[in-house]
Amino acid sequence: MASQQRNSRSSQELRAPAGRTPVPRSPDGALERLAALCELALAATFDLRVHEVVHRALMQLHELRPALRPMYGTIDAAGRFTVVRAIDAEGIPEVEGLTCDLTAAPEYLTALRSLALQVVDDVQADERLAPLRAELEGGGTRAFLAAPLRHGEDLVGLLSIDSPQSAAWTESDRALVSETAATLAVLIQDARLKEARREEARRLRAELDDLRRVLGAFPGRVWLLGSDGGVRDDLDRCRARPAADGAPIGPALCERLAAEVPAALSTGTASFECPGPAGAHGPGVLRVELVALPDGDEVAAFARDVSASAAERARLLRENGELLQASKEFERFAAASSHDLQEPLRMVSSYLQLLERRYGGAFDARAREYLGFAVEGAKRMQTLVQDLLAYARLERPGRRARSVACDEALDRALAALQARIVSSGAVVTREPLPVVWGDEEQLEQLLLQLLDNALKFRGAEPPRIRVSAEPSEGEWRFSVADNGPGIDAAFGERIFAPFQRLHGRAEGAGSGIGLALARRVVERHGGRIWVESAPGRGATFFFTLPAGTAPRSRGARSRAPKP
Amino acid sequence: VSARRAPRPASILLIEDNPGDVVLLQEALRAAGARHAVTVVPDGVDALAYLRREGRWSDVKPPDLVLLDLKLPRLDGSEVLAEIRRDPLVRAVPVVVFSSSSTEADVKLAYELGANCYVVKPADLDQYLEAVRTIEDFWLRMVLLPR
Repeated sequence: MASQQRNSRSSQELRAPAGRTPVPRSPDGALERLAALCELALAATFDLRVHEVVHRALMQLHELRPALRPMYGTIDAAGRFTVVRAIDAEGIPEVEGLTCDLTAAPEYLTALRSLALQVVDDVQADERLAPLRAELEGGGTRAFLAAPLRHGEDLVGLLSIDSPQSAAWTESDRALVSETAATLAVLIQDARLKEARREEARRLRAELDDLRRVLGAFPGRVWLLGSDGGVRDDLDRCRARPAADGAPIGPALCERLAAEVPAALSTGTASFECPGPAGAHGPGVLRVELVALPDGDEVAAFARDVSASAAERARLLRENGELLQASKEFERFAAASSHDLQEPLRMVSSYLQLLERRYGGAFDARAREYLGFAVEGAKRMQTLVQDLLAYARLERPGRRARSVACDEALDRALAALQARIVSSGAVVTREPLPVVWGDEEQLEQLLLQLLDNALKFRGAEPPRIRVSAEPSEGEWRFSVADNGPGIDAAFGERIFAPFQRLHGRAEGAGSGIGLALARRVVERHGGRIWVESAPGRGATFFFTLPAGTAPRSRGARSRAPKP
Repeated sequence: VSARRAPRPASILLIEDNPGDVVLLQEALRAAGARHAVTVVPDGVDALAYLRREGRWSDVKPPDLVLLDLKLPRLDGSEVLAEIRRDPLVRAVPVVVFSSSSTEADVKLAYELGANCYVVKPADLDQYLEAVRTIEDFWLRMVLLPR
């Protein structure tokens, strides 16, 4: 029977290489036992998993005691036994994962915890096992030898061989199970260690791989620097993808690094830009960030070619400067040209008036009418030119900005329009207005323009105008509502464009610059302006101004002198 | 007004290059009922020559009042003003800047350079006449001028 078992598939698998001389049998089986243990110990030289080691041990027990059933299971701290592997009399692995609560047999559990080999010739005769008897016999176990496996002082597992009949276990049987268990304990521990080490290596490899990929994706260089700024490691070999520019560090950069590293070491970080290799964007610019590494005097340096963004930045700065210049030039031009236009206009209108006054008597009615048109035209043109000048001169609030009580600005705007308010029978209602940060004159002008607009475009009823403001998401929303004819939504934004007039050349109609001026004021204060209206239902002009007062650095009332 | 002195003919130096303005000013003075000797120089260089009694102006009297336009050919109004204030011979003469510019920078510069006052030429005829009348009234009747 033993020789049959030796020729079985599983035994060949385990007893490789094939054809080895069979170990001679000794009367007490000691030689076979020794050979088996040696072979089992060989498992340590392979990278076997725990269950493979267990399988080997069980198969060797099976070969040496073919009629019996070897089994290995774990015992946890709570005394629960779980079958890891069992081999039946045919050498076939049995169902795994069966569990048994050993606390049901406390005496037996205590005996196991003493780590002594348990010799049970007959389950029925062993009173300690009485609570487990049914379970054991149900599993076909009448007698067994069970060797506890320990880890340190703790009971962690059990290696056993079962017999379906009562048995008289020999010294050889006992030695076989004890020695195999002792060897198995070492092997399991070894396999676990190796497994943990493999797992650790896998984890490290995965981490390293991530790091290498990240490093490889960094569009620049990464160096590890010593406290003297010298490169300890260029880390190029750690990159999944090589750096675009793998050139060694030039002497200029070396010097710069040596100069900046102490700063990084004392404050934690430092950064600088320096000339780099020239590229498609013109002169190269290298940006270097230094970060001191914790617990040491080393610094990580991240160097990146920022030529493109530096070139872009330079371009934006240049363009911004050009725009500013153009805008200033336009303002100068508009101011100068409107001034130059005013001179001849003044001549025209003054002399037309003089002509009318001095020689008016000599003209007939038609000539006086013509003269009237000419005077009127000149006056309109003057208004236009003055408004244009005012529009062009509208500076950003900037240095003229201060805290402005909008109530006071409204007072002044209303005072300026007093005569027209009285003559039109207009009723102006007002709610308290906030204090905002801005240019006092411009804000007054803004309110004036909107009130002027409301007075100008009136229906048959006397104008009713309501001025109010309410806070809205970090800003103030002002409104000037009237009961005038309203504005067709189709005109939309166009009413805020300069010289855009929706009405005929009515008496008192303006130059068409009023709302454009209002928009310019609002936009220069960082707000928005819009109108909500429908024909026949009046119009409400809204504008927003940022809430809050000045940045602290500026004195609220300080006006820097002009340069 | 008790402080007002009897009108006496004064000498005005009008530094103005625009003949239209020259005539308008003379009309305005006439309308104000004043009889002053107005000398017109059309540019800054001539103005300085006059004030320093150089060349053909070697025996003119220094003016009682200067009316100065800012936009002048050859030498700008502000440069003329600066020169007047630099020159010990003429620096005491009151200078009224009479300009069509209301630009803040022009106004500020004029006062910094020592203008006695700055009057914007009104666009409307009546206001213009009123402005000239007021200047005349104030500078040539009310205030005491150096002799």
